[in-house]
Amino acid sequence: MSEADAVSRVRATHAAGRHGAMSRLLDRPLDDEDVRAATLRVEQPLTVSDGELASVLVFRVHDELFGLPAEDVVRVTRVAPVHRIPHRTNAIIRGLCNVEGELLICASLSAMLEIQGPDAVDAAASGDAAGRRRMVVIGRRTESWAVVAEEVLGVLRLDAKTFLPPPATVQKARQCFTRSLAPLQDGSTLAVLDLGRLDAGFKAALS
Amino acid sequence: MSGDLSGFSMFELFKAEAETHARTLSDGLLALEAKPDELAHIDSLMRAAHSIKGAARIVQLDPLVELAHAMEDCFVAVGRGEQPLPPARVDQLLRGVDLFQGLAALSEQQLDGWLEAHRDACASVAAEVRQPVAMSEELAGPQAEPRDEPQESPPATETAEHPEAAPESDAPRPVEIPSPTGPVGAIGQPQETPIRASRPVVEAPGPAADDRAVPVSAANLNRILQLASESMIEARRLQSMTQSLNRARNIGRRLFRCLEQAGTGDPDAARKAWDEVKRLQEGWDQLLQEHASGLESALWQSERTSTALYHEVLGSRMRPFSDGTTAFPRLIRDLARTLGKCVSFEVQGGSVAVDRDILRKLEAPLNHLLRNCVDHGLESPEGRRAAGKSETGKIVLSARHHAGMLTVEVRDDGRGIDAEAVRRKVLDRQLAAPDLVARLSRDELFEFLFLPGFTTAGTVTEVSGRGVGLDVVQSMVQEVSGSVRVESEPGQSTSFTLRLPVTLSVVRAVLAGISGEPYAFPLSRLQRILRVDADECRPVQGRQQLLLDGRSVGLVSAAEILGLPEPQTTGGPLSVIVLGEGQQLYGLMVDRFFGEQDLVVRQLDSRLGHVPHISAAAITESGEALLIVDIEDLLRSMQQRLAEGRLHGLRSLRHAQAGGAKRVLVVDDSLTVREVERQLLKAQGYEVDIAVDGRDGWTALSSGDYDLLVTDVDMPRMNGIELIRAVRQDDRLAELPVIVVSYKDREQDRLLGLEAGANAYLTKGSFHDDTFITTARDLMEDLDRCESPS
Repeated sequence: MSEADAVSRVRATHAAGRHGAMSRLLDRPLDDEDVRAATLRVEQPLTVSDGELASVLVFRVHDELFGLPAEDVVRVTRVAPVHRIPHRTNAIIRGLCNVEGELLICASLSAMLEIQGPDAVDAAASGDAAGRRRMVVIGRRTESWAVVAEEVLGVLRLDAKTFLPPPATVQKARQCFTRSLAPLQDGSTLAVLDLGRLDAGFKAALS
Repeated sequence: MSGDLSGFSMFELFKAEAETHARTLSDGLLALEAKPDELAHIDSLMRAAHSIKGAARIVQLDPLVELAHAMEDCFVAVGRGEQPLPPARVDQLLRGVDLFQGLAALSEQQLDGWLEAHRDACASVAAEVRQPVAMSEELAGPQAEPRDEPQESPPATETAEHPEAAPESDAPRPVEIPSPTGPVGAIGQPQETPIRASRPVVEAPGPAADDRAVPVSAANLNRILQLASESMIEARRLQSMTQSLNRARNIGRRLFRCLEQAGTGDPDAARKAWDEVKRLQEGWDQLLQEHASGLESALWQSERTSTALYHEVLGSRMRPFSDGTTAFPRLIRDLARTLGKCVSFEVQGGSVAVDRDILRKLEAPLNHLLRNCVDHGLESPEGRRAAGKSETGKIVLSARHHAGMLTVEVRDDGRGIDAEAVRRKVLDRQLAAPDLVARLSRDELFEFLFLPGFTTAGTVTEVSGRGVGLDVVQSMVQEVSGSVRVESEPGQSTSFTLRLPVTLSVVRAVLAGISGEPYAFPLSRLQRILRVDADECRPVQGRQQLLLDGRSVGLVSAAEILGLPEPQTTGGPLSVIVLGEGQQLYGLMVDRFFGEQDLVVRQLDSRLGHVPHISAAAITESGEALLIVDIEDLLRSMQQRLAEGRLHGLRSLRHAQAGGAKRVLVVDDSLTVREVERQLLKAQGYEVDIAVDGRDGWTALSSGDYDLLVTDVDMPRMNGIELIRAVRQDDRLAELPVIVVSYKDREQDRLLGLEAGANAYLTKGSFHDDTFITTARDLMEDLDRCESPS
């Protein structure tokens, strides 16, 4: 039996699983944001906390900052054009986009969180800020969503013990999707979003 | 072993090895049996047995070590000429091979149980093989002893078999088709042994579908690796170009400084600067030129590499046809031996590339067709001699690419199909009215062969029992939108020809912009694409029309159907995609055309559910997402839309002349059946229109106003079930009474029809009495009662 005829068994590569996703996230080339975030992190005074540190990806939707636990983020990448899906596209579900060879459903965070402003997806191709826009793929490997952020500031490591439950005063839509409020060093707070609720919200917008 | 991770991976390796060697053993044994003098095979047999022995020892499967050892010794003895290799011995050795194969199909969890159940079998086969030939020949006469079932089928499939053990249960079973146990052939040797499909396909249990291992040829994989590393090298080469670009930038800056100095007004400085500019410009020009040509070659190289990579990866989905035929020589050999027939079997086109998925789907239908050939198609040696043919019957399984399709043919040189016997059978089973049956053509008669269970009981010998489970073959072929055809020369040959798409993963399509975004229209379903001046289209009765070769083509805007905003009209010529067939042509207006492309089909995200008018997604050459249009679905919507205006007019007309003749639409692809139904209904004073298939029927329904729909189930293009579903989903037609008249008389067929929304399900036998007419009349009267109060 010649080598050419020999049958080798390979794992179907598209099924690399979550480990693949993580290593892809970790192995991606550093861009300015990454470097900036890393610098920021190193600059922090080293406070050894007893509590667990939570890694949170911080990004901007219009003028507001939000966070999402890093383990709920699959990758951050260039903004890709979005193709509307007839009979499915609406204010929240924007369409399909090609994210590094994978066709993902693109959803609008600003519509979901009811944040006013020009829609990030529609405005993606134009404007001064276009260069900073990023596609953030969130969710689990098999069921992920591509959302557009005006800017990704990087990953912050925050002490989970200091997190607060969202107050009732936060606008209704936002409260639904906020898991906790993380106090930042400058005294402001960051709304950390809840993947499960976002996922449910997007799915509800599909039907 | 269980629980030990390192043991697990060793077992996986062993399985892969055992599978390969078992195949070598099986092929070699069959070849050696056919040509006992060619001892070239014996070496590979010895090596295979030896390798299994060694591998089994590593994973400590002692019973198998002993079995492989015994087999190896036997091959050595045969090779030295110390022992003959009669068929009975081949049987024993093949049983050994079965054990290896059974093992190779196991998951690690099943291993212990399997070993427990088969320890004795291994030992007894090993002992048999070690017996001198003379004695074992006594044990097994020319009619081999019944096959040892538990040894043949791995335990995993046994449990799956039993729930369906009853022969009446004729639910489509893609994996295993029981053969009739009644008398077979004309020879005097009664065979009571039920013959089972050779080796049920064992789907590897365990890991999720996405994580499964798939076979890829090593050559293919190597090529993919080479190309992938090549493309990385090319990316680095591009990096080096940024350096030379920086050099060019520096020169540019110096040039600018020179020009600045020249602008100061000092003539000396200006002259010096000018000389400097000339000098720099030469170098600059050369640098840019090098850069441009370097970039060009890098681009060319990178495009070539990625194209090759793309094709190679696509090619990894293809397997040689022979991959799907490995089990067949053994199947035919065993079956022929059991039935006392002489059969030579040949596979042609073993190297033809076939999509992995199609190959997998082909296994059950081919298995079935080949069994039919041996069992019913070929005569006994006596019968063949009497007919003046060679005693050895011939079966040829061939594959080839033809006209962009994969053609697979199963041909035997047996007794052929007697059309008259089929006709008698149709009459006996009252599948159609006698005068209708008398007029059925040969091709129409052969269609009955694909009815479920057409010849199970009381088989007329000449009919030769063909048709048992042929519906399985047909349903597989239809599933991948292929076709199957039977041809037969009585007394000479029978052939089944399957035409299938070469791959399910790539589609050639025309790309068109709709509302500013690209959509793909599969080429195979297009009539034409046109650019026409707006003034060539004129509205007729409120709808846009276009004349094409004298036929009127109704125009619909693609954006409107898809529910997207209309693009701004430029006033230029219209881009029109012509869809449909025959007189039913429809023009879809799009923004513009982008040309043709091969697209790799991606399933739509399951979270989207079924998206109307869209069948799948893909990525364009420029990396954008695009959607592939479901043309059938689109046509339905276009027909509906174009018919809407006219329908409203007709409806009011009907109410004005209430009490007029009821109108019935008869949909059937058989001319004879249509005629019978038309005559019967006309005799009752109904007005009858006819349609030749589901889609034709749907068009008629969309544009006409009917009180009853009578439809067949099995029809080309759009079948009856799809038609009924479409009717029930349409607001205007939801209340239309529907009668199904079909040859299919099984309970599940009836249920399928009724679930789709039919009001009555009749078989074609209903023409004998007045069941058909009574049902039709009752349904239409019911409708009247419903309508009159309102």
